[in-house]
Amino acid sequence: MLAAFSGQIRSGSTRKIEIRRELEKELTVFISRLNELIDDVQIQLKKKGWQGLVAIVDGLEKMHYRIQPDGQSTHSELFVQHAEQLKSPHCHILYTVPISLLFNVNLGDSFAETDVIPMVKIQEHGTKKSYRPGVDALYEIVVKRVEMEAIFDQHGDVKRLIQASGGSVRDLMRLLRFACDETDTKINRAHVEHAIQRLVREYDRLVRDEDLEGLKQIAATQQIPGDETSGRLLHHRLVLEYVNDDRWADLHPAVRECPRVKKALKSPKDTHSK
Amino acid sequence: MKKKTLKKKIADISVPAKEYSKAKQPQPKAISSTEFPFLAAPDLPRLMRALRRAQGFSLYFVRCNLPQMRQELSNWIKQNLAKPVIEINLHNTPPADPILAIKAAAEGAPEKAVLFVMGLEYWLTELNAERQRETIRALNWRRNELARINRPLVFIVPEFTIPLLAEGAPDFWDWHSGLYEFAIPKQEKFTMMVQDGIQDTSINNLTEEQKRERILLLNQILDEYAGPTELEKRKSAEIRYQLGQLYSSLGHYDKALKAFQEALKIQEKKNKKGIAACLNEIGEIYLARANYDMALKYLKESLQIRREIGDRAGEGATLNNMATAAYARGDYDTALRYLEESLAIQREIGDRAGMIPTLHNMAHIFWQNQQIEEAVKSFSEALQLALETQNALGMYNVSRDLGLLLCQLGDTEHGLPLLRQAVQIGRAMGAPDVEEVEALLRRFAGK
Repeated sequence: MLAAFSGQIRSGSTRKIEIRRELEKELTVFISRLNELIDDVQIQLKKKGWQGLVAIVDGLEKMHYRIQPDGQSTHSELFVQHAEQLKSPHCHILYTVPISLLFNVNLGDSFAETDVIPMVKIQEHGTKKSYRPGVDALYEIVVKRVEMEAIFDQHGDVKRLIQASGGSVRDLMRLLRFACDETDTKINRAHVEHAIQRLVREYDRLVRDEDLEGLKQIAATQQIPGDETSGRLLHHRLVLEYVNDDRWADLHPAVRECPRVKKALKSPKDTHSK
Repeated sequence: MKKKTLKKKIADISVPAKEYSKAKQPQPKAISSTEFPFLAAPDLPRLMRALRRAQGFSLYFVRCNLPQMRQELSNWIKQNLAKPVIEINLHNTPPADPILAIKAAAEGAPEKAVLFVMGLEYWLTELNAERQRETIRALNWRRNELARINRPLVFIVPEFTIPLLAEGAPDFWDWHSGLYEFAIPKQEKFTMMVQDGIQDTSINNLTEEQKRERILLLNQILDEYAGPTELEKRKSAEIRYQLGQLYSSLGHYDKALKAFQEALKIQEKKNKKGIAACLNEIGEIYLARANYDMALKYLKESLQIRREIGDRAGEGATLNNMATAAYARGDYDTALRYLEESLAIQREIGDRAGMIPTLHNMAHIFWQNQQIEEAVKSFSEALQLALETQNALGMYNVSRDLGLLLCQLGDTEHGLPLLRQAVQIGRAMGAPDVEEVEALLRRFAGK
């Protein structure tokens, strides 16, 4: 059954709907067959001296986000409404979930544990002082990828890039590439600043006017309010989340530099409703 | 209130409109810029460095809104990058799946080859919501298939595709190593005209000074209608709407936006026509500020109401404005579709004032698509209508752009008088971009 489905699942969208309908009808059958398979695997594994099986289901965080006619999002439909089915296979399972979901519903009710892989903390919560271990770790990542001496004028420039990345490794790599785009020789401070400006422009595209209020609030409270919009902000990394003793959040440094955000953060008025 | 409008000014200038339709048929190649405006773009050296260094799979986006410029850019890089370049045009490969098409084209590519992908906009156009959704989803879920090509992949796309990908396919977008932007050359920037679909065009014919006087006056009157009665509210909404239009025409978009939003707030629920008009105007302001998502949000709302209440002129106008949003983001197929729809409505109901912006905008798309004959034809019809209906704003826009087109084609004999007329009218009505027209006039007259 499994093989038959996976072969067909990529063809046309109407076919997909049919398959989905078929699956929903036969879901319990499907799950019990799946469990027969898993039980068998578990037995084989135990014979070989393994403790058990962990399945990692990667990619579900990429699930399309849509509000259904019944007001529920596709995300919570799967992970909350169908939580029982997700938990039914006879083995440990690790699901990757959309980050926005963590704030909309209490996943903890349905699942044993939810973990967030946070950004690398590069500054202290509150004091905003540079956090050495985090910065050093990111520095190591850069050193492993480029010949530091040949490429950078001064080490301080790398630190500046790290600070501008907000602790997001993906953005740090992008900043590094941007800086390399600037020159055929060594990267200097001006190149670094240009690179940062390019990242700011990219994030500026993602900031919507209606995000400004939420961004302002998060900048002020350093906490993420549990509503729909904050899911979007986290999903697109406009807001970064850090975990140490407590969980806190802040705007991406590049978002902070967007002209509209800058203006909004400066304006004293707290609410500005339409 | 004494009304000394610009009408006199228009009548003074004799425009042999008919001649333009007979103007010697320009050769398309004359407009094809041989000087490559993108050579001055700061992102070009960045892109070239990135491509020279690129190894294995990496993902780049090149943003450029003019189709012709995209092709020229691609050609130029092909000649100047010391690596083999394979160009894939997804527009020519339907109905195949875009990812499959890219994979097929990459098959057997030299190890050092760089892949240029054009035509993704075809798969993402708003015209086909289902195809758009499927494409975005496919890119997000099947990004690994593209990575397995193991060659640098450069998507050359217009603006509207970027937010769709960044927001709709965040995982795919997250892989990009760089976005390189190529702005449209300044002279191509005069573009579309917006329209409100309200038959009263009196504001279009006011001089700048008259507009300022009117603003002052309206602000004074406004105080008299601050009361809570229905009549006062209706009056107050009307005045605010007019104020918004005046501010907007002078380029004071913040004030205009505020006026329209206030008008919208106090507008009676049953005055659907007024509500739709406000929504349309707010959409126009977002257009002027290049915030196309917000613009479309308001315009679509306006369109829906106008269709509901059978406001045909309004429907045509809003469709035209929606075309402007699509055009600005480089989605020409959608833009042209909206304009054709708009023009059909306007011809049917004989809305000659409304046809001016629509024809003007269609001419722009023809221009960009290198259909010069059609462009001149549409501009000429718009010019004729502006003359017949004594519409100064229309006259300004059309003579400015047709003048530029003809001058670029080398027909300064007909182009220059048009530019001169545009400067004259533009100055009188306080058009925000009149200085640029003056600069153009100097450039072409100085030859």
